[in-house]
Formats: sequence, structure tokens, C-alpha cells
Amino acid sequence: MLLRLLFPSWAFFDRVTDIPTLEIRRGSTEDGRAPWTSALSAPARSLRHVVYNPEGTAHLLLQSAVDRFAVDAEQGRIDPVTRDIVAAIAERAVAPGPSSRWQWRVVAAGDDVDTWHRVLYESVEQVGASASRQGAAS
Amino acid sequence: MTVYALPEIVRLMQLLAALACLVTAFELRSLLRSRIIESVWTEGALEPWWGWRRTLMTPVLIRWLPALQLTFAAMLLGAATLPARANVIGACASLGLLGILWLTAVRVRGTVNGGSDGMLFTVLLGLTIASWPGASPRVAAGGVLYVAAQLLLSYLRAGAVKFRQGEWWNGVALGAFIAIPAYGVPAWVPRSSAVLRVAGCSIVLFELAAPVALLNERSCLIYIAVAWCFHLATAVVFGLNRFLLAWTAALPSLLFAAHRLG
Repeated sequence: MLLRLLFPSWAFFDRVTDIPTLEIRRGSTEDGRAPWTSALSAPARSLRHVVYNPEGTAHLLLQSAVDRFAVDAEQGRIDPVTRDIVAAIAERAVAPGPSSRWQWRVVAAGDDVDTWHRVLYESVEQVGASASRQGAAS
Repeated sequence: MTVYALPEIVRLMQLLAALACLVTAFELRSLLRSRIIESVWTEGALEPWWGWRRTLMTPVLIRWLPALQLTFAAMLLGAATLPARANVIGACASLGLLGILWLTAVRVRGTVNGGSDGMLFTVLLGLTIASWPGASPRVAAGGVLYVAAQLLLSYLRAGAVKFRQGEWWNGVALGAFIAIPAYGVPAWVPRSSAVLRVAGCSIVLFELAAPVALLNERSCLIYIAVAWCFHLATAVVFGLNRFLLAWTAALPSLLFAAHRLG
């Protein structure tokens, strides 16, 4: 961590790649499933956010965890710690009740997620909060 | 004494770094209050990765990080008003802020805001060296020149990568980044191919032109003005406020480098 701070990569906006998106859906196979929806959405901004932007910083922090997980998933070596972090982000977005069923996945999407995307990882069905975070790469 | 002299440059960088750290501290306080860190980067998940650093990750210390950061930032502001370049207050403040940036990064297993944390760390490291009591003028100058070198590298590296990609010259890359939902780019930002092409080419040329800042003090001032507008635009369009603050704190180091080398 210290090395990363001492020697930053200075890699900004280098390459256009597919955009990793964390998606969630509620419901189960028996009861029917809701459509996949994005778990993270960028907060609205005003002029004051040019200097002080806590909501935006929080959003980018969460998105960077998803980005990191997507890189791992693309390379076929999923780190369980990163997976648990992304699962926790999904859980925050779902805010499930004790017995509600839900699922999360990470897709790599083009400019328009509705017209084209690739599933990088899809969790098994989760029940309630802090459910088993097992999944299978697709 | 000119504005390009080492003590003046160090004081200006201390002032700007302190402002960046104040904002960072308030944002960290907001993150902790929203319980995002606690609920996503759970202690249970991260404990194996923390290893020996586990002892530092106590909830009490983490809760107090924003207050500590505010205190050190206020000290750095105070140091910026002192006549002496080398003083205990400035050195301790920047060293303390370095420690807090590192602790925060360990807590979330990565930087909070990517490269902006890296640049703020670079500035604080340079300031720690430059304001260290007993540091000779040569060593102190080395601290500021280290920041200038990293700053130039940040532009050149980014520019060199973009230079090789046709998508940056025809505006496609910039358009694709603007379309990324995570940045929440405002609807009023122009997206026509002509504007994107001009903006894309301008960014590549601006980043590659970084060494021009070292030619003389006038070219340096012009480059700094353009750079600041670039970072302001990035903050407005992409919401990257902390990049604006961190790079603003680093930019005066270029003036010192240009004065030395020009």
C-alpha cells in the first residue's frame, strides 16, 4: 500500500474498455425475479461539488472496488476478499429483509448496458442480509 | 526575495496542501458517518489482508482519523504563515498527514480516490523533506523538485499513452469516458464529435507539452494556468474534485523547478 502511494501509476483515462457495472435483482426462481438493475448510480452534482464532493467520492470509492473485481474476474482469478467487498456493496443497495431473496452480478457493458453486456460473475441466490456469498463465474 | 524562492514556494504548497487535506478530512468524516466503510470493508473480510497492521485498525483510531487530519491540516496552515521554511510544526503536520493518508488507504485496502491520493501523498512527502528542521537548502530543494518531477511524470505518462491511441485524436475515447455512468457527467456537457475531437487533441497536446513548463518562468506560469483550468474542467465534468485540489497543491513546485532550471 505504501509503495502504491509512493509510486503512483499516473494511469488516467488511458484506454476505453468495457464498463464494469454491478447489478442486483430481487426475487427467486419460484416467486419470480425482478429485472437486473444497476446497484450504483452517480449522485447529482452542483457547483459546490467542484471543491467538496463527499457523495461523489463515496460513489467512486465503491465503483473502484467493482472495477477491481471486474479485472480479477476477467483474468479468472477472483480474490475472495474483493468478492466479499463487492457483495457487501450489492447488499447495501438491496437492503434485504430477513427472508428476501436476491442476487448480484458484475457485467462488462458497452456504452449502453441495455443493448450489450458480458456477464463476468453472477452470485448464487442470496437470502436475507450477509448471506452466503458463493457464486460462479459465467 | 522572489516568489520563486524556496521558502515562498514551500509556504504556498503548505497552504494549498492544507486546504486539500481539510476537504479530504471532511469527506472522510462523511464516509465514516454514512457507515459505508464499516459495512462494505468489514473487519472480518479484511483482517487476513491487514496482517501486522491489524493492531492499527482499531475502530477508535479510525473514528478519530478525520479529527486528527483536521488538526494536522490546521497545523500545516499555521506553518504556512511562519517565516522559517524549516520548522517543527510544518514537518510534524505533513508527516502526520502522510500517516493518515496511509492508514486510510490500509483501512479500505486501496486509495480512497485513486491518483489524487497518490499526488497528495507526493506533495506531503516533498513538504516533509522541505520543512524538516535541520534540512539543508539543497535537501529541501530536493523535496520540492521531487514533487515537480512526479507532477511532470503524471502529465507525460498520461499523454504518452494517449498519443499512441487514435481514439484520443478523433474524440472517441473522450466521448466514451463521458458516457461512463459512474462519472455522472452533467447533461449540459457538449457531446458533438467536433467538440470531442478538439477537446481530445487538446488534452493529449497539453499533457505532452509538460516539459515546456521548465523552459522559463513565463512559459511555466502559462502552463500552470492551463493545467489549473484543465483540472477545474475535470472536476466540473467528471466530479473529480480531489484531483483539482491535489494537483493545485503540487503545481507551485513547477515554478521552483523552472526557476532553478530555466
